[in-house]
Amino acid sequence: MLAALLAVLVSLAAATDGVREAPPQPAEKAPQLTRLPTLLEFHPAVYPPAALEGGITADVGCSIDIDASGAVSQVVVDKSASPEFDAAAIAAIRQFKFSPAEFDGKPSAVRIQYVYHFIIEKQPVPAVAPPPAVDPDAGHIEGEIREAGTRNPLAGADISVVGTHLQTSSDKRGHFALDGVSPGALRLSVSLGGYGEGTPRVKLESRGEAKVTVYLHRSEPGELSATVEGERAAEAPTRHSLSQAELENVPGALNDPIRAVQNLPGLARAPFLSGALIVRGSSPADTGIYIDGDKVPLIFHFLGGPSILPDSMLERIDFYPGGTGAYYGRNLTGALDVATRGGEGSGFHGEASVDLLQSSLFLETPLGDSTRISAAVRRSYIDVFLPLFLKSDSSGSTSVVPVYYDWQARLDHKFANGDTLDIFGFGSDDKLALVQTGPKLAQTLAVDTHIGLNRVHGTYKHSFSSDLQLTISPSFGETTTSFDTSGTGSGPLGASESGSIRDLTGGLRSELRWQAASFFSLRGGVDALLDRAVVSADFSSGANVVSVGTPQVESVHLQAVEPFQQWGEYAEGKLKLGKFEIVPGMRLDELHARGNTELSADPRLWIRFALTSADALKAYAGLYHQPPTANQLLPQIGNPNLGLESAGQVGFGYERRFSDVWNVSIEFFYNRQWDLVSPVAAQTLPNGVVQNKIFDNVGVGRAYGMELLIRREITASLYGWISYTLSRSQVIDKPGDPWAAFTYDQPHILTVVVGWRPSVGWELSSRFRYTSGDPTTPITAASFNADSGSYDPEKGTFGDARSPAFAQLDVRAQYTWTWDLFRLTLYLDIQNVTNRKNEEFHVWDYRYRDSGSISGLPILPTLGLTGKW
Amino acid sequence: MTRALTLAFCAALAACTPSFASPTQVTDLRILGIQAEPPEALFDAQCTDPNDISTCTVSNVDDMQITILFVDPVHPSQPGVITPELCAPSTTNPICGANAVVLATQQGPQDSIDYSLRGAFTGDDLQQLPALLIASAEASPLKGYGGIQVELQMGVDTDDPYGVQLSHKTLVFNPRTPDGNPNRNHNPQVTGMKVIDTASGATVGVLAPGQTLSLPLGVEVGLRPVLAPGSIETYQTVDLNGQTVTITEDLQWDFYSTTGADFDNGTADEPLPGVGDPPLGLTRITATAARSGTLWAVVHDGRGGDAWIQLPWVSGGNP
Repeated sequence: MLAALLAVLVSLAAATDGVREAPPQPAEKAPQLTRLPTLLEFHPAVYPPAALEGGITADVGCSIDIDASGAVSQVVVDKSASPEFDAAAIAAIRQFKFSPAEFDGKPSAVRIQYVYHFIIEKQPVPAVAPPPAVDPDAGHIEGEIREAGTRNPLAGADISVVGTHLQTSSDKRGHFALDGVSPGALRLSVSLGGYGEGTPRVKLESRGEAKVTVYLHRSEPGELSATVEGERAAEAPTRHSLSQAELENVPGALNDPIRAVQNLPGLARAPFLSGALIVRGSSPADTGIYIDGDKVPLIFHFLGGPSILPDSMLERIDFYPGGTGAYYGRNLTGALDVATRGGEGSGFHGEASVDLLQSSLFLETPLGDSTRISAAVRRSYIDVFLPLFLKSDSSGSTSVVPVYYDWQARLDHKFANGDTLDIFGFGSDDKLALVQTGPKLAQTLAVDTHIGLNRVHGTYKHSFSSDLQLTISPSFGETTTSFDTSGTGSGPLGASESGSIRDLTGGLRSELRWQAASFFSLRGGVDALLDRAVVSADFSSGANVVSVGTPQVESVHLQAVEPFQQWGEYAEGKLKLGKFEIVPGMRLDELHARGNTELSADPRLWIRFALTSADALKAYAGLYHQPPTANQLLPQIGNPNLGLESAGQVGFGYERRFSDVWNVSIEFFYNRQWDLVSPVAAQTLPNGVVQNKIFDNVGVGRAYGMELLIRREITASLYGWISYTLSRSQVIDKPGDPWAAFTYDQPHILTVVVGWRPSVGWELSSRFRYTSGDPTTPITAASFNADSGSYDPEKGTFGDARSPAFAQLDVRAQYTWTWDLFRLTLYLDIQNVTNRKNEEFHVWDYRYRDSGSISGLPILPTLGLTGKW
Repeated sequence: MTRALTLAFCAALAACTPSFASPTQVTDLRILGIQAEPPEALFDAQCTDPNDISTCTVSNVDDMQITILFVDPVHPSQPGVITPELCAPSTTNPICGANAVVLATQQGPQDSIDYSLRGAFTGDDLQQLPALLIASAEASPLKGYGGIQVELQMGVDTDDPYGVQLSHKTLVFNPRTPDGNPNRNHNPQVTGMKVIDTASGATVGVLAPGQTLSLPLGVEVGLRPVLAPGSIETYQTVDLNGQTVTITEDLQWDFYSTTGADFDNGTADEPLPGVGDPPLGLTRITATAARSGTLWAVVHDGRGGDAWIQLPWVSGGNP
């Protein structure tokens, strides 16, 4: 059963095979925090008289917005003590003065968490405080303040020598220094908002030096969160972004960050464990998936395995369900852009993870002040223990050996003139071998499949001025796919077959951005992709032979070298006129394949109108084109004369930000597709010639609906969202057919995700999902087909019936133990915690009189352990 | 790649599918096979435009002997009433609609009824046959390329509670060629059934059609239908890409039995010439009750040719 289940997942993973390589598109890098704010002026709060008299102490937790000048622009109480304490803390904090935070070396606004401690100390106040005497034996203490577990430096921590007036603060590197310290056995007091106090002992010799590293443990849940004022460059009117923290721990995603995206609006539920992205009712092949600008042909390991990129290498995922600007091309519907993260700037860090199916290792370290490197590797080990569960008896034996691994490596370098270079390499490899032997088979049945991918791309950024930036991104890679089967002899499934495709890819992306005026910016670029695919295959096919009943097959030998060239050019402007933001764009693409040239021109436009500072209207319209996949163009099994698929998209929506953490967006869309590649039957032309196109651009599709997202941005202790999609998706495969439901037409899709950190160390999260059942074909009767020996059903139109609705609750709990140098996280992720039987396929008996269901996964717990340092 | 994954997917579905009744078990009215002899009928055609079938005059169409194999174990003595119709191919189901040519009702005992196709046309309706051939060719996107296909639909009634059971078969017609139609199809011939001892792998014997198979209760017995020499034909044809190819027929077997015995494989592929048989036969049958019954093995050649063998079996108790 397990082998059979794994085989199902293989076939479902193959559903993403159709994603074709397309132009690399480097994801817009988030600004990098290069300097934390430092408290320069502290103002004591007025202690509430009643509390002081009553000896009442308190802690008031706040979020402080610091502008680019270091002034406090807003104070919000996160953890209240009492109205009097809160008001006193707010009044004092408003007068604080900070050194501003810096992003990419530039002063920027930032938000920090800060805890104001109201402490009552009873000290005699001398009438006259004599100046401290200078100790001739005074020494020097220096050291570092770091966060326990991560070893990240902590800036702004207060360090004082207990019993003296000596105090200082740590700088951005966590360093501090104290001079004039009298020798002896001393104790330091180290405190920082959100952390427990550190009180290390230090022994200082006369006129000596002492060094100490202090690790502070968190006293409040969550990381320091920073919000960047102003937007990153938006590639579309609608962009949903998930940060690494949100991606890491969403339940039901099997620790896979890409799968976490399936919880956003506009995405239909994919069957079983498939990670296929079904966006606005379109085929997974219609949405491009990019890793740092490089469009990848596959994103998931098969057998329902994880994506080829672990969360330790991710910084962020941007999902564009539609209406993308000219920046993205060759996709009919949307785009998913995965931004990888550069290495940490300080110290050597790493992460090791073990669970029931795989292990992974991640390491990162700086090389000097300007360079950082990171690397990761992961391997499954199902092949080690799965054979233990597969029976072998006298009737035969079956072995299934699935193996996958992936690797990533990255180098980031900053030049003295401010230019940056990053080089990212990644790859994945999947193998599946199935062997069946036994006396009931004439020959051993063997199936061997392999998919491998390796890529390297670089991104170089140069600023001519603050208004003119250039980005150049070359890439190079190779994808190999092979299969080999040998069977029991004759018959369409028994004949031996083999094939391989080796695709060499080279790409170049270059873009110039120009801020021409305060209200107008322009960017333009080129986008080239060159493929050379070497195809070799020997297989049996009945597609070209006239048969009656059981298919008659002929041997097919395929040997071809297929060069594909795709050239793209685009330009996009951004015009700010009062409350209007207008972004017109144009993209031109050319496809050269097998002597044919296809040209496309895609105008796009989106507009935002800011009703107020908190809400906005948006609208967009655009044309989109997508080339056929490589196998659809191959002779003998495809049609070399296929043209581009086309789509038009329009939409409008409303967004509102209720607070710094709550926002809502609603969007209505209509997508129309035409010239879709559909299988077509052979026909005899009037001149007697048989025309067998196999595929032709005759399909039409449409999708329309509404998407609603209510979201709480991630903060220290809470995050989540509610997404609801109401939509329809329909297709016409060939002229003359009526509209029929698309395979994954799901009119209602509701997802609720909640993550909560109740205390330091704990994180709990859950996901509830409800979707309409998949469309099916009603069957009322059947007729025996004497040529094939099977029954032909009397069918209605696909979509006139539906499977039962899908509902599933997934939960996740994890606890992190933190030591000074190391953290250990244990997690339990349970999919389908109520063990609900959700129908994935509706099946019939051989003569369509009886029917039943094949259910999805039952309750599925996953236990894992991750260590970080 | 897709085929390999299809293989795995089919295996997976078989493992996860709900427990339905096995198609090998004949428990009520079932149509098991239809044979047309010859499976490829020839006709004379005079055409004004050889590329336009509508300009052709069709005459001298070969007759076909139609035999239908059906069983109703619940009403074993009830004769079957067959209602045949001919029509151009369609994607609807039932295949034949209001424009079908209705043939004479046939009646006879169970197991098989056979009749002449030409003889089934009533009165002057036989004149409709040439027109039906032309209409069938025009209805097909291939316009008769590879053979004009006409659908024969038959309803079978034996007072089964589910009513009339529908079946359909494709009849193939081709114009006579000066070289004598060297690639013309013929029905395979099943001459016997090899019986194999699965414990030793040894052949116990070969039963002729109608001979009784003895099944020890609870013991798996291997079966291998025997084809007459020449049943697997190799022929030349022009594929849809215009390439002349040589193809060896891929024969497929279906196995059936009345209750009391069941097969571990309901279908099997005939091994290609030169490829050895599986040591334990193409399928294995096990008697699950001490009783008697009937088994059938039906073969399809993928070009409209069919044949079968019928064997009574008896299981007398413990081995």
